[in-house]
Amino acid sequence: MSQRVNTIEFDIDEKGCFCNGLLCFENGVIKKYVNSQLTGEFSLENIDELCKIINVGCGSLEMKKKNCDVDENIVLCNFSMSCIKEVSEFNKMVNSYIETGETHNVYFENGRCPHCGRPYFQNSKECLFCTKKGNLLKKTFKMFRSYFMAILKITILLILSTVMTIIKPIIQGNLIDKYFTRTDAVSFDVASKGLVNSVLILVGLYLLGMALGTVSSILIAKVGCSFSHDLRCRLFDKVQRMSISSVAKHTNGELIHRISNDTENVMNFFVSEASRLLERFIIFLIVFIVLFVTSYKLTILVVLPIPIAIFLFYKSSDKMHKYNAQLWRSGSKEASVLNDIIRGIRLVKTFGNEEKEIAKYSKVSGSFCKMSIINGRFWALFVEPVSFLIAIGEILVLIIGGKMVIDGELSLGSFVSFNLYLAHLYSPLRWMSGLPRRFSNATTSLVKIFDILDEEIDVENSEKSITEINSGDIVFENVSFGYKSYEPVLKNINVTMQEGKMYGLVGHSGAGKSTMINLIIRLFDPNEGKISVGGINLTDYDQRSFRNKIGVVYQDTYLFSGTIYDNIKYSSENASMEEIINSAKIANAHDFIMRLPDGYNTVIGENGYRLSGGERQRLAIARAVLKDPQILILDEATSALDPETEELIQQALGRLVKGRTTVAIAHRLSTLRHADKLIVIENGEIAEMGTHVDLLRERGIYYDLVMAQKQLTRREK
Amino acid sequence: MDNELTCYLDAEKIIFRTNENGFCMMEYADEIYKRVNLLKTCPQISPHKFICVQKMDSTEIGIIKDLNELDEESKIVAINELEKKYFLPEITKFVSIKIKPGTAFMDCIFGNVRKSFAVRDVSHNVFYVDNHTARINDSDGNRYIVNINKLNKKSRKMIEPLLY
Repeated sequence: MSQRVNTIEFDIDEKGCFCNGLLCFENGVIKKYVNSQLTGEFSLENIDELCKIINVGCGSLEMKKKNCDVDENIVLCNFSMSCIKEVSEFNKMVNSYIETGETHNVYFENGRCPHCGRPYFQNSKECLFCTKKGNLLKKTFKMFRSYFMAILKITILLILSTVMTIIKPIIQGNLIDKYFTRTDAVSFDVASKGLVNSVLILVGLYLLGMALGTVSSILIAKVGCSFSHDLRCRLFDKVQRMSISSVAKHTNGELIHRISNDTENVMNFFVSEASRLLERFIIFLIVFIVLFVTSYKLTILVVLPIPIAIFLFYKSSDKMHKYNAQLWRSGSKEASVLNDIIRGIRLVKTFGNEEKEIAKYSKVSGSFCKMSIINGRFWALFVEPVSFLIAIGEILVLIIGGKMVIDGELSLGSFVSFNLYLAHLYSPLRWMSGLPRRFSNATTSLVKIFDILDEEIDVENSEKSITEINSGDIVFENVSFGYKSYEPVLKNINVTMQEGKMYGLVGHSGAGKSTMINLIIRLFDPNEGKISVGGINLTDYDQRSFRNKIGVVYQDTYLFSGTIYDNIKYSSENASMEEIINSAKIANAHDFIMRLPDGYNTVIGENGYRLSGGERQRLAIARAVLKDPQILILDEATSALDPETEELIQQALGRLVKGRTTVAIAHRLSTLRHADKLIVIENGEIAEMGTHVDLLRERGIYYDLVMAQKQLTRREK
Repeated sequence: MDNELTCYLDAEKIIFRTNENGFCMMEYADEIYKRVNLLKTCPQISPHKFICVQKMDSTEIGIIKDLNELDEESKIVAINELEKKYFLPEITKFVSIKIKPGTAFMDCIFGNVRKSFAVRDVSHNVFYVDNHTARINDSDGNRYIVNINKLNKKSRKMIEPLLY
């Protein structure tokens, strides 16, 4: 849904209190209304621009007067973060008017729910307020419809197995009425024969029930394992496809918890419990009919407390969910802290903080334990009284049924079989009384799973999905980008990088250099403008094929636990041993590898902790070389290394960049002086561009940076 | 460790005033800064201590150790300025909290204003900042504060299960 932005709402007044405000823009005038009262009219004459200031949890929109300092700005309005998107679009529109003198009716995807008008949450396309409750289960059933037949088979087997058990009381009741309380009409022989036959039938039923039960258990195990494997893979697949910014919203421990524990919870419920649910329900119905036929009066007594129990469950469902969510949170936090400490164990030991970390873990583990106890206590205090309430019927049956037997209204056999059936009626009821807890557990986990599965992938493959790159030319055309669209990090970037040449990105920290690289790798898509490679828009490439043509060497390179061979081969699965050795030689890594007793088969430990920083870096370069990339990205690839190691790596990089489009970031500017072109980024914009010599001659930002670094080097010496 | 890198401002020499456009200005040691930006170094632990004073181009002028050391008028101006920058309205009452899987929907009273908002991923967005103060971050990016001790029993019962 798109919306015109000539009129926008704001919600904070001058005193910092909530209000209902409106800004209307028409014919070069902005009118301000607070609580339906016109409080100001502002002409755009002599106004330089509108500036949006973002603070913490709020912001303000200011008018900057021409040739005046910022202390003379006029505050148009203050707003909370609920209004930020509209204010940003309004800001752009008015600034465009100031620049061009023309009013463009700007429409924008307002990301709001068409029903209630509230904004969507981050990347979601679903309104949090308007989502129907049933959606969760609907989505779950849709996702696992392929398992329905298997679950149905299990259910049928379980029902058959239970029917075997249900028939038994009829035979037992019959045995009592016909043979045990026999009259003279039934001879001893007939009674004995009847007893033997009944016992044989009972044994047969037991055996058949056991066989059916065994087969259904095997099926449950089989379906359950496939189900949780499938769910884990779906979740893992989604996590792999999510953008870096989406993954960064979750801690490692939390993601691991979701992939392992939550999938297991859901599997337990949907495979074991869901198949039993139908089975128990059918048993309940059959037993209910049998009981009703035997004695409708007693049956009414039995089922009388059930609606009360259901009502109690319904009333406490919110509380159940809250307790389960709390338990989930404390479990997830415990997993997260544990993962954090174990990953940073070397740092913990280096700083001698073992005791501190033990205390930290003990605290979260204690909190998890406390929540488990609270949860357990709630269930014990809730389920047991409800179970007792349900069982009141049993006592009533004993009193009233006993009286009916004494009065001759009911035979003893019927009374005994009624009581035996009663157990079959209460068994599913008791099981069902624990169901809300299991259901609540499963839905808590399901929500966490769908949180991830439903997240929109913000960088998707287009329909074209081109797999080949014509050339390594990279072109930025009017590119603007911000991790939050209203806070641009890069503004209107226009640059052409030619194939086979080396480009250095230079600028202060936070200027936008790494963001430019992230856009080339297509970890994000620009908010405005386009980036093309080989004359084709980046969004038209198949991401996997495109990234296969790109080699990246980061400062903090990551190596997987495994051997050196595995780690180099990671970038090209089909590489031969000759190619691996060749790339290690280009990266100046071969010599140090050969000094290791196990050579290329040396196990390097998690993230290569058995290697030095320089060795790890050279392995990363070898990995990039093996790919034979058309475009090479070097993000601080040589910083934080000693001069000797840096020299080795520079030699390796020198060999690597030949014939490829190379984009490099380096804080040590000396490493970029041979670049064909240096691009100086300042506050998200290209400030200077040229060769090292050109830029020094210009005496601009680059010159200042070089001089500052020279001074620093001199001081260090 | 020395503090040479940090310039701590002498509270006695500071004068904060509000200019005619409502912006905070500072006079310090015979120098006038027409518009300054005030930032909290530890917004949660000590909101009025170690306040960083910046020029509008983000260069730091210095740090004020404690706003209580300023003269009364300057202190009021500084606190007002910080309140404008750090919008943290206080929830005084919870009318209802509805839990849908994954999201809590809160209908709240802020003094005399009623507002409803959604909180996604409660475990990360509802938490204690100290023994009696909780923070809530909503799905739009707004932040709210709740003094648990000031809430009535009903409100406390609603919010407490979401805190741990």
